[in-house]
Amino acid sequence: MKLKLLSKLLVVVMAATIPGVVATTSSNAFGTTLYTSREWKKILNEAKGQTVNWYMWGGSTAINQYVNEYIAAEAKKLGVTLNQVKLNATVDAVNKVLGEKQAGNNTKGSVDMIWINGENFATGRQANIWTCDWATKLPSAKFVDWTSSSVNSDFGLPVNGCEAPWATASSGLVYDSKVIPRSAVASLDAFIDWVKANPGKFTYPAPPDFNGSMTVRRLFYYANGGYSNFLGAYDASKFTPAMAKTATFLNDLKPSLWRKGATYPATIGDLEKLYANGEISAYLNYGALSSFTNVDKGLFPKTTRVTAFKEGMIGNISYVTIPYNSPNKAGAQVIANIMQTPAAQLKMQADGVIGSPAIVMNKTPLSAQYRALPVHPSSTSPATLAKNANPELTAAWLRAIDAGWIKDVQQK
Amino acid sequence: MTEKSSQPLLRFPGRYGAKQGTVKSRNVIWLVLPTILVLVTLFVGGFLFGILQSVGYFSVIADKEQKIGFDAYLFAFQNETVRAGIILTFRVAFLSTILSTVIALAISLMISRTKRFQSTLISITQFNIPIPHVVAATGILLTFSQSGLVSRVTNHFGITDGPSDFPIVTNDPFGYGIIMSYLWKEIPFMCVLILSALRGPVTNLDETAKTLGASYGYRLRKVILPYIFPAILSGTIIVFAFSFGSYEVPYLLGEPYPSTVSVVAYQLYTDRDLANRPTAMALATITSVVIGILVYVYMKITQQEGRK
Amino acid sequence: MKFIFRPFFLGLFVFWIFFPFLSIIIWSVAAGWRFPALLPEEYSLRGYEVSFDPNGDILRGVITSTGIALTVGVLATLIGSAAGRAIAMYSFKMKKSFQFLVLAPLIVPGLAVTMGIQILFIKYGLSDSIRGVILAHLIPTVPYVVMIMSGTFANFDRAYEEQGQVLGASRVTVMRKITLPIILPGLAVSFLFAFVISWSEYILTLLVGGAAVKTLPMVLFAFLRGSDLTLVGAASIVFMIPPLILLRFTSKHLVGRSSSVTGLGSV
Repeated sequence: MKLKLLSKLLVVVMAATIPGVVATTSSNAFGTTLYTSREWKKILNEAKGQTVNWYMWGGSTAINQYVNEYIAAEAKKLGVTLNQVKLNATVDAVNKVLGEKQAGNNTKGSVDMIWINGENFATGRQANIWTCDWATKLPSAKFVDWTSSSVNSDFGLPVNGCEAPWATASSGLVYDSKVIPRSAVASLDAFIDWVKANPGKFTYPAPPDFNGSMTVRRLFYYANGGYSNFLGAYDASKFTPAMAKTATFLNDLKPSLWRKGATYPATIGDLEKLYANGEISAYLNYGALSSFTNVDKGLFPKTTRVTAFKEGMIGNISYVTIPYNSPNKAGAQVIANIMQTPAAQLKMQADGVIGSPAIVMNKTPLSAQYRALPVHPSSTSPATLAKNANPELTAAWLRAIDAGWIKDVQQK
Repeated sequence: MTEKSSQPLLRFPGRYGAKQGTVKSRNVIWLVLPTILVLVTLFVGGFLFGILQSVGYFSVIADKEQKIGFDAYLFAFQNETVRAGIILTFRVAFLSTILSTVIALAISLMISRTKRFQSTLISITQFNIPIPHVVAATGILLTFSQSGLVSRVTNHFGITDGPSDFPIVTNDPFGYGIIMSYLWKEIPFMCVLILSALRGPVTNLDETAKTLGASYGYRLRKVILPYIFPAILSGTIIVFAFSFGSYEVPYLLGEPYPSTVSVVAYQLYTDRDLANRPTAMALATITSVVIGILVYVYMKITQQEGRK
Repeated sequence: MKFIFRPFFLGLFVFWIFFPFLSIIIWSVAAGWRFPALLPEEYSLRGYEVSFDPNGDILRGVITSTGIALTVGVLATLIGSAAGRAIAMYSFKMKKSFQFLVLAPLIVPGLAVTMGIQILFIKYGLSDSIRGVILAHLIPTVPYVVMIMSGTFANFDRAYEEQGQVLGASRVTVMRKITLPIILPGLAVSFLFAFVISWSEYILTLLVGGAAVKTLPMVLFAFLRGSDLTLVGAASIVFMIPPLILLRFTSKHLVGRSSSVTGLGSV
């Protein structure tokens, strides 16, 4: 008798704990563990009334508008004030946090969130200035494919929950179809041939500009028959001959470049000014999917098109990270979470803010709307750019290639 | 030159019968204290801290080995970007200073001899003074770039054929764009200084000499130029130091390589590789010392001339 | 021949002063002005709409810059006038060293000093703040004021003050009613220079204020690195207006009989 009662009690007790068990381990579709609803509620409460200083590159009107209007409004609904701080270069924010760490300011940092990836993220990891163990737990993280190596590793460095993705940037070739025929942009081979036959119409910004660095990297792959040899840790014995080949290629290309390769535009903005004025007719850009906004403003010709080479384009993910000394970590997480919501990602895509979504739209309730989004004639679909995507290399490779370009190409 | 320091202007009686002498007073400390506080803490402090950081103190890379030494200076001199930058900076600074002085002198003299519209002309020379250098650079860029206003005009009339046919005077290796932007601001500045000096008691002397039958050329050499010489000296020093150390204009109108020393210094300072910070400070210190030496030599030479 | 020589060169000079503004003005109202068009195909006020957007960066930059420049103008004028008076009218020990100290910031690039001092500013919480930016702006402005005011005071007749004191006026009254009106032109020019230098300052603000203090030069610089030249044009025009207004009020003192600028002409 007692046994029956006991076992019934046991069953009741176990049943009572099931909701609790379910609540504490809500896993997402991709196998990471999210915050429990109680934990997240605590964060939301803490975030109310906080002001988040988000330091980010400020050179794109489309991104600035998206952040300051849409994202800020969504944040306000949750009681969080978003203050965008525009940077000329992300490294400025990293240096700022480093400076604060050096001065012993460990709790009242001025930077709450940074749009970051690649080298800058790596520098911060090295100096241990990022907050970790939060990015995979955001409620919206259930739409993020954390099992994918392009997400869980940033330029070859494991993310380890220290940063949350918010956009995918696949570089694309922006070109004027009135000047360049479709056949000449189908492959990198064909494009290089066209450049040599039509000198002065192509160039790239000088590294260490982000887009300049990417173009040099892509041509580094091209001159060395692909990227597979360079994945993983930096290897000087592989780098030196590869850089020599690249330098030869780029120096040979100089007479066909704008200004005969004697100089290069300083930033992507300068490069786009050249394109806008018809001085060049093609360029590579991480933000290629936003070029159509310039067409609508009358700055770019209506014959602007975006495409990918059949050999593939370089792509990477844009993340946000939270410095270790931020006093507004809760607010920052709230905003990072908003960035990843299907509604925000859909709007980002529809307005041509930057690249393409960082979440798997097909697994969200808005997948139908996403698929139905019209593609501007001067743009293309993210899938086109992502076909055959070339990965990024680790930060040490990047630095070596940039330095090698400066020494062997720019200063020649 | 001691009289120069304690009595800035005077070779002739000041206006309104102003006294020439200076007074001794203990209260003077209150007058100079605020300036001393500001300049010593901020300026001297900043300069000294810069030197300290250039030899290795306060390293941001919390390293085991705090290497104190002049490595950063050696590295700066061996760095190709720095060397090219120094050459460019010298060229731009010298040309800007010489050209702006000569042109401003000519313009000022012409204006002082013009009776009609003189006040209008003077107002026009002042117009550029409050214009920020960034705007000046923007104006030069939008006007003289290969797709700028002038290029569009020449293209319209068939003189050039497309943007690449237009001469490269902005973002160019010689520094033409930078010099143009400097001249655009510095010529009016020098004009204001010289015109101010020209309106002083020198006009009386000039009139006297004229009635005594001296020609303009003679008066110019013997009366006017010696009198306005201090103003020219001042102006050239200020203009040279500025042209050498400015950041905004060379950044906007120069090239990524070579760029002037201030641009290079800033790039080194904000470089991802934190080991470059001492090099940035070293470069800044070298720049200050170089300008200082040049100014000193310049003043010594012109004082010799002035004495004659 | 001589008759056309001067008007020609002076005319060229005037043209040279105003010509670069033309492209800025046209770009500010252009809605697309691609090469080789001589004039924009379409016009729009988008540039100015964005500039005067109350939530926008440009208007906020104007407010920040104005606040900082006015404060710096007043502070620098006060601090520098006292020192200028000391140099012109008194002799004291170490006067030459003091004069050297005052002139040095004109020779040493501001970048050098600010890079060096940034570490201290961070430590004492002055970085990223408007207070810090104001302090940093005092470095290039105070020397100008000292030089201008020492020129003004060199022409100043102490006898006026002495007269006033003999007639029984207090020191404050003497300053207010006698000294101030006489040196007012010098003060005006000093304020103009200090304001304009602070208003235009970019690299010092960037280093001390980080990206947190958004003055107009920072905003314009950011636009210049982008590709939207319409915004660049409109922002440039907005950037020029306040200093020009200030010039309007002080221009008669710049090259006038009071010759306060001669102080600058005696380094």
